[in-house]
Amino acid sequence: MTNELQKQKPPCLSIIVLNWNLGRMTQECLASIRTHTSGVEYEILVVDNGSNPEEKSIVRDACSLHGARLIELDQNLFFGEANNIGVEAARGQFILLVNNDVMVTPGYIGPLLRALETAHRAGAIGAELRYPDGRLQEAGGYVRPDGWTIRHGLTRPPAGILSGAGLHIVDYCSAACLLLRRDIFLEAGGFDPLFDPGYFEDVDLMLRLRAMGLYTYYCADASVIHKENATSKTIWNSRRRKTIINRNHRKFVERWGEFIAGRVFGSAEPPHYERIAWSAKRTMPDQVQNLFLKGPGLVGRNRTWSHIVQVAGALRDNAYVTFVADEACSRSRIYTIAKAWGQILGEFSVMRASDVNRQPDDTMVLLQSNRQDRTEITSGDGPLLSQVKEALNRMNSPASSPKTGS
Amino acid sequence: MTPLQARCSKDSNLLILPSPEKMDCLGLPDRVTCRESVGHRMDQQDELTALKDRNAELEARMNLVTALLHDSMSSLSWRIVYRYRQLADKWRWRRSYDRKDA
Repeated sequence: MTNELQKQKPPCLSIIVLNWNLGRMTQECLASIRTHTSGVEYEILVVDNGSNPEEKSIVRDACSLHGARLIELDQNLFFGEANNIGVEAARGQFILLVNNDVMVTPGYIGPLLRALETAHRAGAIGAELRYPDGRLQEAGGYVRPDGWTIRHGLTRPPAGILSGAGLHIVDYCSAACLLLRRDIFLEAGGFDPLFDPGYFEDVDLMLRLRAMGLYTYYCADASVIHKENATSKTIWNSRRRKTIINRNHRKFVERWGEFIAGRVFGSAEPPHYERIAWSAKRTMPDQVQNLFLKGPGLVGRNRTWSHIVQVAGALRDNAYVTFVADEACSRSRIYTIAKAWGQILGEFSVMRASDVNRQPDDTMVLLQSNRQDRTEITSGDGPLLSQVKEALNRMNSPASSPKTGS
Repeated sequence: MTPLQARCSKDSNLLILPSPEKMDCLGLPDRVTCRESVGHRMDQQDELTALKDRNAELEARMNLVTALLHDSMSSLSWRIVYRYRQLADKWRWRRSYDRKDA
């Protein structure tokens, strides 16, 4: 399947749809995409976030009916990470993120693509969102100085100057229907795992684009129907949702507070945001050996993974590192985490523990933090084991503690 | 169309300029002069890009301020002020109408 895909000419646009236990809704979403997307070569990618078997089979059927590629995850990695995985698997120059509770309308794609190609320093383009009964849900979004967001047009009719036909520069647009360039999305680091499991990750991404000198535009000429919160309502009750929103709001203000508070009456500039320099995946020379670094659970911002990333950084010239975790993980996530800890990584791969196919010369090391906050090798063998031990000893020494950052 | 818009749209189809009413608020000087020499082409491009950047930055800020104002006017206190203002206007108009009538 992968070889077949590589032989095919890559499409211009990749449409990424997430699904979690809402097979019928995803089916409708895919049908609307197939019906109303025209004038552009495109592919559809569905990322299933660990749905139950019944729902998964509905999605499988829908994908085969509509010719969509399906990426199946074993557990729910939530909105940001699942989208990152989808974007990395996409082949198009442009990516359109679509929620599965969205129904696209005729002629929606033309204005979005035109806007991304022609607007001045366009980083992302969002469509107008409407409820199924026709009420306006969002005509672009803005961030208040206190960090809370304004969904323009939700509570009262929108200001004419901000919603007339054409394009309008906004702070953010909801990622329910958002068009971006794939390379820009990846250079920005994708959705930040800091905001897992959800909320504020899209606003954060678009402010990062602004810090990179790119603007987000709201395109009033493209309209889609969005049911809103279809998935999150089934995962969390309203109290839990509020807690997550408040927690992520605090993180958001911690990162962007100075800029958003100072830009209305002052002249605060967005903080400098360095683009991620992606090293392309390529075959390493024969003398470089494979090193599998396995950690417990999912790749995250904890002490164990901090040390695993540091070991990978220290051995980047001697080994081809593969991070092994219980569940799939995007390369964006690893890059973002490494960047937050001030680590520079060379080439690497990410693999699910169940997919590892080890050769005799490969080194496999399982690392875990103990109660004294020291990371130790739980099990391991292979020619590079001694080098991993050395690197780990250097890290566990009191002088070198990981550089943490937001 | 302002002279700046005319100039920019002639040079490039890349610029998304705000509507004329927004442009008037920006206070941008209409000082883009037409230099026909080929040698100045690069300078012109730089100048145009700089203007587009400034234009976009100003539009972003103006849209933000408009949205903030619009949002603040949807609060309860603002609605009360707005309602009283409407009432005041209504009675003011009625009084003047009555006087004229008399």
